[in-house]
Amino acid sequence: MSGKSFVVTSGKGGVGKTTVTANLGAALATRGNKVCVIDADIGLRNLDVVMGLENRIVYDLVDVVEGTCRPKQALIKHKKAEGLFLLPASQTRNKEAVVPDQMKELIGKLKNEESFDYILVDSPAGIERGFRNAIAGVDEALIITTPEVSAIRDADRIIGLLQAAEMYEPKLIINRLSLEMVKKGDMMDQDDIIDILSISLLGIIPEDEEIVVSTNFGTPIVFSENSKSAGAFRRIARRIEGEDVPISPAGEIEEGLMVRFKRLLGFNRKGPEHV
Amino acid sequence: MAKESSGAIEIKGYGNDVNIILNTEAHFSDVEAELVERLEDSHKFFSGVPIVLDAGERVLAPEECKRLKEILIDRFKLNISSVRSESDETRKAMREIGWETKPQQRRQRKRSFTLRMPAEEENDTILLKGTLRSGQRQWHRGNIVIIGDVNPGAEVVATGDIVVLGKLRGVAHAGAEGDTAAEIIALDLHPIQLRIAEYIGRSPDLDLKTDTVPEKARVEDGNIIVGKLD
Repeated sequence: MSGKSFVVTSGKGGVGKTTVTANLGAALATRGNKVCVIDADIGLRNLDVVMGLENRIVYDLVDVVEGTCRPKQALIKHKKAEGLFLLPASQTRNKEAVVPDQMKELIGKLKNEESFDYILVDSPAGIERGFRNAIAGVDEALIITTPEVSAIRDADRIIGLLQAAEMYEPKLIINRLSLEMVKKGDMMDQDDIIDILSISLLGIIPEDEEIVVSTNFGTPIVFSENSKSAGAFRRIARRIEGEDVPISPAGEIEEGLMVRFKRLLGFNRKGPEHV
Repeated sequence: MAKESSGAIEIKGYGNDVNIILNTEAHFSDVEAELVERLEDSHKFFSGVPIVLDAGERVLAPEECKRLKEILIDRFKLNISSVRSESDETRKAMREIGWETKPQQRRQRKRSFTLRMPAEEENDTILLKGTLRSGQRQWHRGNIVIIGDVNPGAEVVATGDIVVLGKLRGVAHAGAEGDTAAEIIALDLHPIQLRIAEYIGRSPDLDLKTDTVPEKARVEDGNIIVGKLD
């Protein structure tokens, strides 16, 4: 069986692409898959820091595509998860050091020669060359957005660009949803967001202060049992593997009384279908 | 290693990139021979560094352009970022073999103190002042002394020793062409990675060291050893 590759992208910066890539990679790996996470943000690499692997980098993505080393030599095995590997970006080069065709070739090699089950490509923010590189050669796209108008606007733009690149079924992950704020009516909920983007929802990750701590320590939060968001990442991993795990706000985050009450009264209902 | 150069080419650093400058008068076979000879020694050192091929006023025939490409890219795998030439004919020939060309005059010959790269003077030392930040790569054939900090994500590469009069938090590679006697010295040594010649040492995952005594790293029995500076 050949592996599956995903790009994790958002358009807007700071919505959590790197955090989602690291944690989803870790969650898939702890479920027994061989997973490769690729940092495509050449020149502004972060994934290595978030995963706590910065001090192990010798070769990087640019070295691999330029033929300075073999893919295997650049892959860094994660210290906590068997089967989780990082292909770091180069920090001293820029996006133009790689062209989309080279990414395509690389992902093919990783699937066939290194037999990865899942490959996650962490896309840089923006829609320029870095984004083009990140989407080249992947099978599917995961769109990350936060419940903010600006992030959703950019996600919408990205979905259009993906369609232009013949990727018609991107899946949505809503990051940093705060139940308290949704309850107060200060934040959009998942229905509002799906209304606008009209793509299928893969999961919701609750706002979680512990993410900041885990990021600073370079340990994906999936490894800490009791955090709010770790469960959400694990459920998304199961859905990626094809398991049918229902997505209800109650499953992702504790659904408050108010939300249910409002729903009963007919608020927060889906608006007219787009498209 | 210091060879008498015939002056058919010059290799110089300006700003962030390296220029390979072809002499206008020299015979092409001399250019070719010297290029091969100089790169034989140093091409690994240039790995990844953007290089500008500066043909100046020299007019290059299409075959000559092809030959240059063979040497620079196919043989030594250099990263040629652009070609600079004042001749329309040369630029056309360069474009035909797929090189990006720039018509402008050479960059100002203001000597960049950060990147002077004399090929003939070994053990030359450069002094840098200021902070080297993430993504910046400072390399030099010889020794490097930095008065300032090297932040995480920054890289210092020297064929000789590296001395940081400040915090070394990034990656330092001393003896980059194989000199295992090279040393790395810093007032505050908390690097992500240290490399001396072909040896690599990485920082512990949980760096509990809080002291800031001056330290020195060197190779001992195939390992990079960090100790107090005495």
